[in-house]
Order: sequence, then structure tokens, then C-alpha cells
Amino acid sequence: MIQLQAINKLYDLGVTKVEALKDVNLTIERGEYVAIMGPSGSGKSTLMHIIGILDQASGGTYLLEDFDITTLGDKEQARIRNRHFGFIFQSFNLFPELSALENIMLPMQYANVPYKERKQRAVRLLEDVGLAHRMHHLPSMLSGGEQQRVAIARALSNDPDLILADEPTGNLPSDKGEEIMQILEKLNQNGVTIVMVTHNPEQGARARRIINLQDGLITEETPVKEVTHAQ
Amino acid sequence: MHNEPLLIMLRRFTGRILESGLLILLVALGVGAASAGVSISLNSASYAADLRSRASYHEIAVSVPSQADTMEEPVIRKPTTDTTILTYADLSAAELLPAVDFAYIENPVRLSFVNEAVIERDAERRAQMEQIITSETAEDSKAEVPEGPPESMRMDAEDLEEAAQDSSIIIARIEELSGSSVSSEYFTSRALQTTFGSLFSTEDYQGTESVIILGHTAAQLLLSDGMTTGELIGKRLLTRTGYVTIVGILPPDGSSSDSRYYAPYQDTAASLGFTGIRRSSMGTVLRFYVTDEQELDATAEQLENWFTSQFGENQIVISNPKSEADQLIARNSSIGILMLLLSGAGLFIAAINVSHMLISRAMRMRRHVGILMALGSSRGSIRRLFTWESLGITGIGTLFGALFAIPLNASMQQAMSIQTDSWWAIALGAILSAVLILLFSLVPIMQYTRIQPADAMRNA
Repeated sequence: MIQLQAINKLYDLGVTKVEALKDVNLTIERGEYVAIMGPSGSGKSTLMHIIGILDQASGGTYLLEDFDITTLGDKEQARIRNRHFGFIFQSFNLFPELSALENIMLPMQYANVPYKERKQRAVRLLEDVGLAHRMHHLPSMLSGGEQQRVAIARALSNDPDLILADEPTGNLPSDKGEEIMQILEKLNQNGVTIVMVTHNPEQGARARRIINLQDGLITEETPVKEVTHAQ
Repeated sequence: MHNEPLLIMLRRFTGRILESGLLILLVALGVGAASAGVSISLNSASYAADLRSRASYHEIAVSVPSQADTMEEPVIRKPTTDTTILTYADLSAAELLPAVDFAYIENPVRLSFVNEAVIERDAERRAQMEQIITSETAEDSKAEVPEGPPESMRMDAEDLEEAAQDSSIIIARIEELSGSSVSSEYFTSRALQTTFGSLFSTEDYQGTESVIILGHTAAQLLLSDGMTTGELIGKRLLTRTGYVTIVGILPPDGSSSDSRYYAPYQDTAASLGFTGIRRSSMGTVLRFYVTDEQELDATAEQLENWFTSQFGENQIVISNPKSEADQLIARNSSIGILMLLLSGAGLFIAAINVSHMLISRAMRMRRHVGILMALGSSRGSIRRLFTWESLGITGIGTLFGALFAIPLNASMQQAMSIQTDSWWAIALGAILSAVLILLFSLVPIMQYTRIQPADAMRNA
């Protein structure tokens, strides 16, 4: 599904230049559950941003379904993000001005889904994450766990092929974190590809593959686990 | 609203009402001042062009000093105007001046109409007067009863009723109408033609019959119910001094002339006694029309020399409208430019401030921008979103600004003696100002949305 070939990322900070990724080669197959791990500053978030086309690589090739997406324009890249990717962030990144329902409806607006259908799908997604009774609440009226569940529902709104989760449980207590991990696992069981950035070795161990990054280099790639819940 | 990104902007707008209100106020002040400045400047230029195109700009006026003028003169220099009488014969000065194209004489006149209200009031006054006279006579048997106006000039209810029976007579609802008695060249100088009826004939100027030509508005005032303007021609008006016949109606020209009437000027010097001439000559003005405005100053000087030789020093006032108008135009032009510069500077400052405030708002929306892009918004969509916000603020501010500019502009124009309808100039000023503010608010947003979504989320 995803092929990264000799990907580099250089941050020009004026006086100094920081090489966040160095010739990273990575392949992610459809239906995989990949955990990217490593210490702070190792380049794991940068790698996730490049995979999610939130950032551009300084060099190398990024093939999505064998198509070089670095050659695409802004509009096409936005379309891929909208239709094929779903993002889950550590700090939830919900819009405080919108209700839970409206937050989930928003990505569908960019996919030109009619209002009535947007609403129906958003309600169904909220029911799936157990928050149907909180649909008209603003994010400020929800707990951290609830906000992250809304964020997951939003990530799923356009039925994406790939979920990119950046420390999804980083701001949650362990019990709530467990709930989120279970949702992600369930999604993966349903065929959604998941790439998760995490510090937590226990959570990393629940993925089917772990990629360790150190100073912008992939230092270790654990073999694929026996998949107990494979399709 | 079925558009979630716009909903975010709208709720941010209403959620920060103080900041949004300040932005709108800033735009309104900038646009208001600038559109008033543009309007004053444009109207000043338009009024100058209008003044120069008016017939009166080309007319040198010759008159005797008015009472007000003589009161301002020192006693020792006070002119003896008792013997100064301007008549039609004085227009002969034009024959000596090749630059003069036409010359005419103008005298202020007034028609006093007779109607029911006038008759009633006259009857009341007469009764009161008779009562006073009767009581004074009783006290002093030697006192003489004043005769009052001649019997022929007294109009009573019977006369009015008789006139009302005649369909060719119009009983005016108004009581008075101001006008001018003019010589024939007046109409030539202004290239005036009637829309109904005709101009005065040679016989009219010889005084065989009392005839008048009405301005457009004056004609409307005299219309009876169901009567059309053209039907006024040939009708007679009942006045205190007898009947006057309407022979023509002028087209509207948008000036005060519309509400006046014109009578043929008849030189009364030969037929009336000294007192009569004096009274009828008080407001008499001779006007000399010079087409070539370059010749106006020289001709005015020549006229002054000629009239001084005829009447002596300080007996005649020569008024050159060109020099007066040029002074007014020069003053208005300077004020107009100054206002334009000041309001332009104000608009520039307002635009910079609006731009800064919008950048500050956009900076606080940096994370929002990153998330929106992650969720599928293109940079174009983000730009459109901010453009809608800028358009909303600029639009509301411009509306308030234009409303603020209307009284500001009106008071400035009044102070500058500019008489021009200026809504279009205000609208033009408001549109230009709004475009400038919009540009100032859009340019930084355009640059700002070039960032990568990851950077937007990371550095917010």
C-alpha cells in the first residue's frame, strides 16, 4: 500500500540544519497494524507526517498504491488526505467551536457528502464509539477519553484505508487509553490499516509490526507477529 | 448553516464579539473618512465644472449698491445713490465692448395672488383697522380717516366668486410667487425654450398685456385638480393688481429658477414719477454675458470704467462672478485635496491595523488551519475561508462607514458651499476603500496559508 524509498527530511533552522529522517525505506501493506517507536526527537512524528502527506520529504520517493504522490498538487494531496487517511492526534485536535456531531461531519463536507447523509453517518459513528448521547456537546464539555473517541469517529468519517494515530493515548489515563487501544484493534480487525506512533512499549507490542527509529534512521524492525486476528 | 468550516469562522466571529466589533469599527472609520474624503474631492471638482458651465459664470452683473452695502461704508464715503438709476438704456454699454455677446436687464418682482384665504384675512384686517379708526375718530373729531388702497385694487368675496365661475381664470392656492422681469436677451443668454406655450413677443415687452412665463415647479404649484401642465397656457391668474396671462412654461433645470416666474421687462422710467422709478430700480441688475471666460476680467474692468464715467465713483457695483467663483473653486479644491490626503492616510492606517488584527486572528487559528488541511481542506479552501471572514468584516464595516460618511460629507459640503448630490461619490469612495482594506487583509492570509499542515499544527 505504502512504499517509502530513501526518504530524507531536513529542517533548515538558519544557522543549523537538522536531518530528521535519513534515507528511510519502509513498506506498509494493506491491513497492517504498525507501531512506530523511538525516543523524543528520533523522527517518528516526522515520519508519520510524511506518510500522512502533512509534510513534504526533502528527498526520496513516496509511493501510495504504486503512485508517486510527491508529484501531486495541493488539491490532489488534500483529496487523498480526506478520502483515504484518517488522523488521530495526541491532543485530539477537535474544533472547540463545533459540537461532537459537527466535528465528525466536517471531513465529509470536504468530500462533498450531502448534509443529510453527513449527519446520518456522523450519528452512526457516534453510536459506534458510544457517544450518541453527547452529540450536541462541545468538546469542552467532554472528558479527554470522550474527546479522543469523537476524534476517532471523525477519522473514520470518510471510511479511510489508513488511520494515522500520533500518540493517541498520550493525554489519557490508562483505563481510557485502553479503551482507545481496543477501538484501534477492532478497526484493524475490520481491515483498516493502522500506523501508530507511541512511546509506550506495551501499546507498541500490541501492533503487528514495530519500527524503531533512532536519530532519523530505522534501527530495528521487529518481525511481523503471529496475527491472531487476521482477516 | 450547512457548512462546518464556515460555521467555525462564524462562531469564532460571534464568540469574540469585542474583537470583531473593533475590527468592524476600524473598517467603518477608515471607510467612512475615506469615502467622505473621496466624495468631497470629487464633488468639489464636479461643482467647479458645474459653476464654470453655468450661464451666470459668464455674466458680469452691474447694480446699484444695496442698502446693506451702503451701511457698511463710512459716512463720509457713503454714495449718493438717490440719483443712480439703472435702466434698459444702460445696456448700450455692451455695444462698446466686443467681448459681450448679450446683455439684459433683470428686476425682482412678485405676484400676490387672490384667493379665499387672502380675502378673509384682508376682510379681518380691514375690520380691525376700521374699529381702531372709529375709536380714534371718536376721541379726536379732527382725525382724518385714511382712504386705504384704491377701490379698483380691493378684491372681495364677490370678485373672487365671479372669477371662480370663469374657467379661463385660475385661483391660485398659493399666496405669492417670486420672479424677475427680464428683457428678451435673458432667454437668449440661457438658450431657454419653453416646453409649453412660447417666449414673450415684442408686444409683450411693450406692455399691452400682463403676461408671464412660469418655471417648471412654479407651474406645478398653480395646477388645479386634474389639470395638465400644458393646459395652463392661456389661463389667467387672479392677482391683487389684476389678471396676468400665462404664455409659456419652461423646462425643469434643477435650479431655484424652477420655482420662479418671468415677466417681460418694461422700462418704466418714462411713464412713472421719481418715487416710482426709485422703488422699481432698487434691485435692478444689468447683466453682460461674455462667452469667452478669458475676457471676463478685462470686460469687467471696462464696464467699471464706463459706468464710473456715467454715474461717478462708488455709485455702481460691478460683480464679476468668474473671480468670485474662481476663489470658491480654488478654496474648495485645496480643502478637497487636503481632505483626500487626510482621509487617505486614515484609511491606510485603518487598513494596516485591520491587517494586523486579522493576522493575529489567523495566527491564533494556525492550529485550526493545520487540522483543517489534515482533514482534507486544500490551501484554496483555507484561503476562501479567510476571504469570507475578511469579506464579512469589510462588508459590514463598509456599510457602517458609508452611513457614517453621509452626514460627514453633507456637513463638509455645506461648510464648503458645494451644492452637488453626492451619493454616487460616497458609494465610489466606499467601494475603493473597501477594496483597499480587503487587499490589505488578504495579502498576509495568502502568504500565511502556504505553510505545511504539519508545521501549522506543530508550531501553533
